[in-house]
Amino acid sequence: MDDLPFDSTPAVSASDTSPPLLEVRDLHVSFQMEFSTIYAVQGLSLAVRAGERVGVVGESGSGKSITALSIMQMVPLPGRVTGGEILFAGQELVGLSRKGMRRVRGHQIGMIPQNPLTSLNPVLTIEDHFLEVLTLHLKLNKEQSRARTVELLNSVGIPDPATRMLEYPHRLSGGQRQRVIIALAMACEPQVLIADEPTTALDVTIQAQILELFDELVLRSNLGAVLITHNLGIVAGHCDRVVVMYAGRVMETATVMDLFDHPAHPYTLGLLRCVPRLAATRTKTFHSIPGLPPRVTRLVDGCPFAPRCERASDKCWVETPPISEITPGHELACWHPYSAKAEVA
Amino acid sequence: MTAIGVPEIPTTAPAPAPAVTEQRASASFWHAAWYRFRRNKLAMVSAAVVIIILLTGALAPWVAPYSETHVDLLHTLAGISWHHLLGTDQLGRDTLTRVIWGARTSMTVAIGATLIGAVIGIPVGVLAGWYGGGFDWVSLRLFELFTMVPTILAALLFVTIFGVNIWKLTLFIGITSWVGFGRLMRAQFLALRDREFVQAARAAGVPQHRIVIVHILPNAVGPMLVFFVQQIPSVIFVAAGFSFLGLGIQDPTADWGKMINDSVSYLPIDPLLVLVPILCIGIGCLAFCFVGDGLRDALDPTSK
Repeated sequence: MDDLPFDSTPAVSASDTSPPLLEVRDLHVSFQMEFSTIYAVQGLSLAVRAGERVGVVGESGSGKSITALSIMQMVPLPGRVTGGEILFAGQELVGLSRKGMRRVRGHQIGMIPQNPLTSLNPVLTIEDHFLEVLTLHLKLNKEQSRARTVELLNSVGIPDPATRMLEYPHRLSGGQRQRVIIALAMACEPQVLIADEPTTALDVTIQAQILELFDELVLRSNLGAVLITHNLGIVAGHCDRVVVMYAGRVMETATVMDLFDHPAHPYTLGLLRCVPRLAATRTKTFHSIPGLPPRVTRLVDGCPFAPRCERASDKCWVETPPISEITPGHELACWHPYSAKAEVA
Repeated sequence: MTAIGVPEIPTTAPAPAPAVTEQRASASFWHAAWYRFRRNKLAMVSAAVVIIILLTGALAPWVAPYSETHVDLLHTLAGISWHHLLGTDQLGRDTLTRVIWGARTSMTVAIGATLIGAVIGIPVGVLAGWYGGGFDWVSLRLFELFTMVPTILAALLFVTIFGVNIWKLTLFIGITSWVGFGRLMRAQFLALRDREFVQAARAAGVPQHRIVIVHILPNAVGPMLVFFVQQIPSVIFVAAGFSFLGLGIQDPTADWGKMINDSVSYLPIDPLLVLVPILCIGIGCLAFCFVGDGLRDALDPTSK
């Protein structure tokens, strides 16, 4: 796949068999609205090992962010986790008490929210933000917290942290704020880091810097990381394994290498074709998948992608394809996968 | 200090001493607000007027030239003179004295009633906005109930049953004016509850009570303070209105609204008697309004 516009070099091999730090099994999340129910996530499974970066990709509304919020047990009402388990270091998070969950949030699982411009409290200084989590989880006193804050800000590349930390958030640039947010998520040395589209609000050059920082932190602290994005370029460059979601379900799970070299699901292939390439200007049009993602207000049998799929048969409309492993580490939910090396372009 | 977005350039100037920067930053929010407020001339002048009104009211027994109840039947409706700088009314009471004591009454009622309104309204609004659901529903119905009943009718009923003095009037206006605070805080909490920094705080494991107190309330303090200050003139108006209708302050206590009521029949003879309390009400209300506006602008941490 040399003609893809990004470089795919996974840092961790798929053969890693250490027990997962975070494991989501058969997660179901639904929103009970007044007149309908939205089945946002239906049977999602994923596992994150230490030092591994797992990318979750999908279109808007495919359930990526809800998956992240489920792990933090922060699904907004009227949403509810209706089934499945979320195991963090062997501990079940679904149904964990509010108090128990508070010990996990921010302490053992850090989260990088989407928008750096609005994720810091405008009336608190940078230092106050750190002081709060450091006293809460690590029981540091003010002096210790201050020293640690300087250290943390230094590690994410904020110049002159001792002065900068006394500033209010609006005096920092977007990229700097995102660095602060990352440092904040890392403040209590979590084992798992969840990043929900961490660079969507930033411009491209800052994006690259932030993602580099993200890679560095994962490597240095041997974190398990979940990177939620809709950008396949980010997945290729900054993830080890990928979960492709569509309409709340997992379509394909594979290592980055596998996914880009041997995409088996027609949806994955469609997504890859949608990546604009300089070499493809001769066709003069962008490729797109026809149709729109479905509204998941009913539980129906059949593959959710069938209405938009070029390979769909009658079977696809009536029977839901089960998730099965086609090669080690490569799982797939499709009746008619592309078997051999499929032609992306 | 380098400007935002400018890369750090090593300078020869020594780094600022930590103690100095710390002081600057820790007081920065209120300092910056004060700095912005100070530059607003209208607000500063209004603040001075407010302070003068509050001070004369508080020090009424010492600054007023005569006693509040001093009646001089030999000098009724006297015009401006060295003895009576603003003249006297139909009972020979010194107008300046009455106006100063009236400031005391009006400010007591206005601030007292607004405080009572805030004390009732803010917790209700906070709970309604934060918890939503059933609590929100009940609060909304309460808001509607209190908005629906005409204040004047309720006042008539209240006065008929309980009688009236300055404290009862304050309590009554306070009870009828808490809805504004409730609505404001509910709206603030509804808006702030879903803001990303609140979500981020939750994701960092911050307990709920801390989120409410540390993350949401300080963000609502600005609008709350502004509303508080702007609520005062409307309470002054309501209180003056009640006094004018005879439902409020009773003799011998001096009050601006009551002074208008007392003197309105002497308008053709001595217009000053009505004009002075009207000016007091007008200037007082405007001053509070402008201070409120100035506060609103000053407390916005992102304004320059």
